[in-house]
Amino acid sequence: METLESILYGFEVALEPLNILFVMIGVFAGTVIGMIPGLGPISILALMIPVTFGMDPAAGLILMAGVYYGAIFGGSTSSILLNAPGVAGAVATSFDGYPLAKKGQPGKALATAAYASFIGGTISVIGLMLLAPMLSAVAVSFGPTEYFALMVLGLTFVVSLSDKSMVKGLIATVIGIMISIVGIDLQTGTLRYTFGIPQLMEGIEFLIVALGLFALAEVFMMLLRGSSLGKRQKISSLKLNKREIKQIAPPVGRSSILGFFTGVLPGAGATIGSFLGYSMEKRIAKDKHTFGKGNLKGLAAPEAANNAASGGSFVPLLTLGIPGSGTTAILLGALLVMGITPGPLMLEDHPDIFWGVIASMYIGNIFLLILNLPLIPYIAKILDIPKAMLMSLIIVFCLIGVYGLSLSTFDLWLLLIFAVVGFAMRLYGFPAAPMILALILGDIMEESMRQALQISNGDWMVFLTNPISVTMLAIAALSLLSPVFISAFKKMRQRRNKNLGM
Amino acid sequence: MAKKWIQENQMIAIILALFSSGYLVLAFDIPSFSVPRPVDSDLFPKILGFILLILSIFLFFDRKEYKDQEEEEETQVQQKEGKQRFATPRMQVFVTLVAIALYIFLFEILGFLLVTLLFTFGMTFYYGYRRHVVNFIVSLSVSLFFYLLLTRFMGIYLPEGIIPI
Repeated sequence: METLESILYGFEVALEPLNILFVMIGVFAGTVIGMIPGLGPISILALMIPVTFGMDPAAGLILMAGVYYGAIFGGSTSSILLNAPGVAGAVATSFDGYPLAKKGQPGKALATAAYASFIGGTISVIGLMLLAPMLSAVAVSFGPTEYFALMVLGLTFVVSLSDKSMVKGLIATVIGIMISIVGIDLQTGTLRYTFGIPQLMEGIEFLIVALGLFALAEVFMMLLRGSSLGKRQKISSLKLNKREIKQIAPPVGRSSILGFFTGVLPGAGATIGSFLGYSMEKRIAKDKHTFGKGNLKGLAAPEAANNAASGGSFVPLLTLGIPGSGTTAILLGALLVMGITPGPLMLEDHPDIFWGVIASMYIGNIFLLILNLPLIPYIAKILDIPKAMLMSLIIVFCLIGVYGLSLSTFDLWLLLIFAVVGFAMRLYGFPAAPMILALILGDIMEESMRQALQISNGDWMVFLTNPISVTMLAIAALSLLSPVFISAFKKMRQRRNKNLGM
Repeated sequence: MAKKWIQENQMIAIILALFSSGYLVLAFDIPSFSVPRPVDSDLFPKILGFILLILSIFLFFDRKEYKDQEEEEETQVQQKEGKQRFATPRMQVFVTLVAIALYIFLFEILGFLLVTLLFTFGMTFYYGYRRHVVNFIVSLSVSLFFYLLLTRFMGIYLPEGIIPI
């Protein structure tokens, strides 16, 4: 019953005229930007931080959350029409979405994607509503020891679940933490790694790193690819018949639930969720051979899963204050800029933010459905924006955003340095998401470690004697060692097969 | 291709090893707090430096190839495109970097409005957009919009440079 009261309160917040406006702006902007291939949701959200700066925190998070799930929603459009996924979470959408569009049914594909996204998104908000208060209740009792272990777990998960080299992921993570401790040590007042530069005393602004590593680095990658967008398919009728609805309902349901839990896990976001959804449907389908040739189920599953995962990723963010992905790390950073520290206490200290954001997601999903059904032919015209202009504007926006926050050209130079670093990371296969996550968590991680050791009088065993922390650290260690186990297991099987063959 | 890749990894590993060594040296230089405490400011950086050093050794011997498919495609795209010298993708990245550096350098000299207008117009033109009137209108409105938004609504001082508004 309490949940019902809270959600009604949340709707009170979300239905304030100004907040409704922000949801609308957020999902609209998200849909539009999500369509544009090359700009991921992380970059978009980083560009939003200067916009939300100085806003009421609830309104700011409602806006940014709207942009995030709107981008995942909109990312499917360019996957279907151009075979160029607007966001990474929509890659799996193009497997069957684009063939369907090529067969002359782009309207059908877009409608399927919109319905699946809507249901996936809505199911995930219901899950968020039920699961978040429970997790908060557990997390309230967490002390610094558990928090430190939780952060180690979150960071290792992000690394081990990324498709790039694990060593490189860990290197990116460590460097991210290194960046986070530059400046005055808040506990002792000692200066660390400031090299006598006064601008570094306050530490390196998170926004600079985020815009450099993502938005600007992505512009450089777009230049390097030098490819222009393909021919856009003309949009046909957006109607689905009864048989088709029947066909997509079960995969949408299954993938929504799967996607939601994938999103809750730290480190697995919309991208992994959508691939899991797609491969699960393909495995259980009786018509496997039509997957990849425009099968409706193969389109509905990843679309339901990626939207459900984007909702699910709010669970660790709102309840533990631990972002599970690069995207939610940016959201966390934005909240910190607004002076709010998410975590188990947020439910009590700022129920307006907590429940307001959750309620706004219901409204946002309905807006998205309206936006993506009748209006899609008009919105898709965005894809005709000249890429040349788009790129210059992104660069200018990054520069202005950083200057508007810090008012110093020193930070603009820093931005340029991080853009080069981000570009180099992309070229040499270093994932950038763990770095941004580590940058956000680094401060808090060190603080909890020191507090835990302060309480235990410098005894390191405290992390291993606490049951919750030891469990988390063990899981973290296992997730890092998983490739070793997998290769050992494969070798064993090969050997056994050989022996059997003898 | 594979051979070059290994060298690439090892090169990065060496750079990272040097970086982490330097980082460690500085970590040992962090002054200690006057009141003894179980954990001081230097412990965490020391741990980080050591972990990075170990990871760079791992990277040195990491022979697996993890290249994005995208990157593979990219190199193909690059080979296909035989554009003029100033428009090759690599050149475009370089020119963009220089242009951003110039923007920052001239920011306080020419003032926000002029430098933003020049940058937006110039880069859009350079990336190959040829409708100059549209380009100019867009660049001017974007620069003006941000200038007025920041100075009039947010009360932020922006360098006026040579065009006082």
